[in-house]
Amino acid sequence: MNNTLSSNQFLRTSQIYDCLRRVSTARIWAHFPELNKLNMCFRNLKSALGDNADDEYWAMFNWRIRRFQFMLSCVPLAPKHPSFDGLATRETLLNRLSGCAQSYPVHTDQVTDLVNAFESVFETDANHLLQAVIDQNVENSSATVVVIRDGQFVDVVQQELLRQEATNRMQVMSPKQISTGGCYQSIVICGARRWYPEYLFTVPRGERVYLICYNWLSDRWSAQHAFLKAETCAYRSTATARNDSDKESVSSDEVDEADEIITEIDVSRLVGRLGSLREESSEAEQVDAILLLLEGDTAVFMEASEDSKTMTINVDFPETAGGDRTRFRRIRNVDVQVGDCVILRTKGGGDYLRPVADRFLGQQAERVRSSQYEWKYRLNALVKTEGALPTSIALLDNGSFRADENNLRTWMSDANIRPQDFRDFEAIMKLIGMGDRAVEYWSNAELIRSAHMKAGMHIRRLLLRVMATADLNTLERTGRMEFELRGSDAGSLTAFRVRSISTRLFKVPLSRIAEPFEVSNVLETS
Amino acid sequence: MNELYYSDGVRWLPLPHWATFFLHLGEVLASHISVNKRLVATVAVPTRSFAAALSGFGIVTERASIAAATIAVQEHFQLLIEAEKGTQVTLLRRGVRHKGIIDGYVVAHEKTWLCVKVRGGELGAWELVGEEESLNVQLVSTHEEDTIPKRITGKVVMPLSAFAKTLIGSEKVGSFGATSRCDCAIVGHLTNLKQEILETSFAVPGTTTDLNQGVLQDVLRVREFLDTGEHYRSVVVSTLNRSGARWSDAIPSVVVFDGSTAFLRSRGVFSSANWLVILDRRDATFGDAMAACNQDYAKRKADDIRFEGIVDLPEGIDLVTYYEAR
Repeated sequence: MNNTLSSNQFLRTSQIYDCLRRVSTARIWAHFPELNKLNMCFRNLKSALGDNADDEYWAMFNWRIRRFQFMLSCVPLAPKHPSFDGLATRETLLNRLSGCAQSYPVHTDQVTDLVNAFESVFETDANHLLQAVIDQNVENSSATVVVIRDGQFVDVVQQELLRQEATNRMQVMSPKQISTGGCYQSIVICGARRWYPEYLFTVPRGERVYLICYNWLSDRWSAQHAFLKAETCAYRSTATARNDSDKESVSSDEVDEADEIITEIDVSRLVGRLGSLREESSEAEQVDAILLLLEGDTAVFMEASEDSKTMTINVDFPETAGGDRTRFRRIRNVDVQVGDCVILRTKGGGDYLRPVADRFLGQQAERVRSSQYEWKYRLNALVKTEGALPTSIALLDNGSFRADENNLRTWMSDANIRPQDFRDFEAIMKLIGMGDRAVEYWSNAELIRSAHMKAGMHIRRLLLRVMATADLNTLERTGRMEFELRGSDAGSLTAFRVRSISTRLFKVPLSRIAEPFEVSNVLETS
Repeated sequence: MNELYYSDGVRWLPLPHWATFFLHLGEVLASHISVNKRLVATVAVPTRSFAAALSGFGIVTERASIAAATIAVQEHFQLLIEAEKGTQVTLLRRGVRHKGIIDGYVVAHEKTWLCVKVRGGELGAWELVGEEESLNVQLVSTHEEDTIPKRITGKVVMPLSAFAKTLIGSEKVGSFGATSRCDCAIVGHLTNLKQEILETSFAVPGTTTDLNQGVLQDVLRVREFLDTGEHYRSVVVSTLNRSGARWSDAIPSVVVFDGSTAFLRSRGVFSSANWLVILDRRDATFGDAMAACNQDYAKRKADDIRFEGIVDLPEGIDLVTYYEAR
């Protein structure tokens, strides 16, 4: 039993309650008129576009500019910092400006104003939010924590602080990370409070809370979650009331929607509307899926059926000798919550998979691999001489069920073991003159498939063992952590923190399930 | 309750205000339990740490002052009669505790007798227990398939720790260690609860100047953390355990939900029990749990109550308490 560890937990809990008795708040309004101008230009264009603002033509444009403005409003980095991807944003803006004269001539002036406003912001070298921290003489010590809402910026902001003499001892943490620790001297939060989890303000983990916000942004806020008022039974503590009584606080429904132009971006709406999966074959099997928005502008579709489960990892559990399996939990996809860390395969088994699978096949490996090679070779040769379309038609004539060109290319590939349906396989075997051996070769392919599955599970177990003993500090800090087997090409698993979950269902090809994708890649296709 | 102390690594200090608040809350809740009304207390906290464990400690300590005999002997006997054949129990005879299993019941001389099998093997032996003696038969904590011995043996009842004795009071020590009763069920994360209940030292002043050290388990006597055959006063139910959806034991006096997820997942299972709901403001589901609590309060409340003695809430804590008609 680790008595010291749990006594420390008791002491840490006492610190948290002590801290709440002493907490005080300082409000700092920062200036960045160029960003305000950009915000206004965007607002003007959006208003002028009206319903057209939702057209696919503007989707990437909108996403880029909103993301750029939003990040600049809550991350203390200069506009030119590569993490903001300003160059790509500029390219998108210029691209849309060039097409505007033809597609939306009425709005050319507004788009030009917007591009010019963007250029003025982008040319600024100053880091206004960080400068506000320095100007306030916030104590430069490890007991000062700058809270960054997006995990992907935690490390880069830490590097930025290290470069400044006035901030090089401060720590940078995600909201989740600061909430699981003890109590700090000061915490610095940039941007509007409504963009952060409520607990940062209702039960702050710092004795001095610095709220830094651009002076043209409204920071109206009140706690959303409170007990119903009942005079005779509700006891209300002063720590919560202190924040409520802030002069800028109003109830949430009074927040002007126009202010929310700089806000969280509704990725699920964009992804759904753009139909990013349209390149998939219409014959591909589709399932109902939920969309999880993950840390780092990444998203993933997960099967929405009641039985489908996913592996999660709990960062609150410390590493223990021999690997702590209790860190892992398989939960139903529909039970995944915001803040959970889901484990997804981010690279396949690579070249490591095949030798492991061959070990499972044992003495049969050589025989089944050569039979596999034979039918793939003959099919490839046929397509080369006859062409893909005529071969597809011939396969259909031979009883194939799904022989379109896309599927044919999949079946030709070494990465594919066999078609899902025996009728498709039988048609291939007939066409390449091996119809009498279809059953035998089908069972060989089945052996390979089974061995590959076992190999995949084996590699997954090895990776989970790595995760079980790993220091999860990176995951807690940034909301994302990749795990690989040292010295092998065994693929990787990545743990992602879930940032939000779409409330609607999507129809998604099975092959896209549990496959993380970058949101910007989806939007680039528009 | 005697004043509790905690260690800062160097010396023993009186419990801080927030910790005594939870102990006191547990005591007050336990003392306000009513037969006709269901008591609900909901508390929003800055961290779930120790809130459930200390409240549960307060509940069990307060309930210990209620002698086992006054907690419906009839009800206890009925529970034993209805228990499945093979249910493991202990039978107390002349200060010695015997292992046994329930083997149904018989009616003789116009009276119902519980059959307790106390010897296994071919030559089995049974004891018949009437209602008035039924408190000597107690359900026990079991972790695995355990068999009754082929020889009738017994085990002298292990004395309670000095820490528990001081807190419970010497006059109640006998029944406290020798009877099982579910005064408190804590629904939460077992790893966290185990650490707080088993691995954190506390102390209480003894009769001399020395402090008697112990852990919360000494008083909580959580069934899942006891050795097989020990008598329990509380149970823990894992938030993750989906089989918690079927609760077959007697209804606990108070159910403590340790966190929003525990509350949202298991509230339906314990809908007839008295509740202490602890909502950690950092939980991802805090908003959902708060909304559910508000909905319950708005729809089903009967009487608001304000507990005497709970006036000085620690910072960051909000509390709502009410009775609901059963």
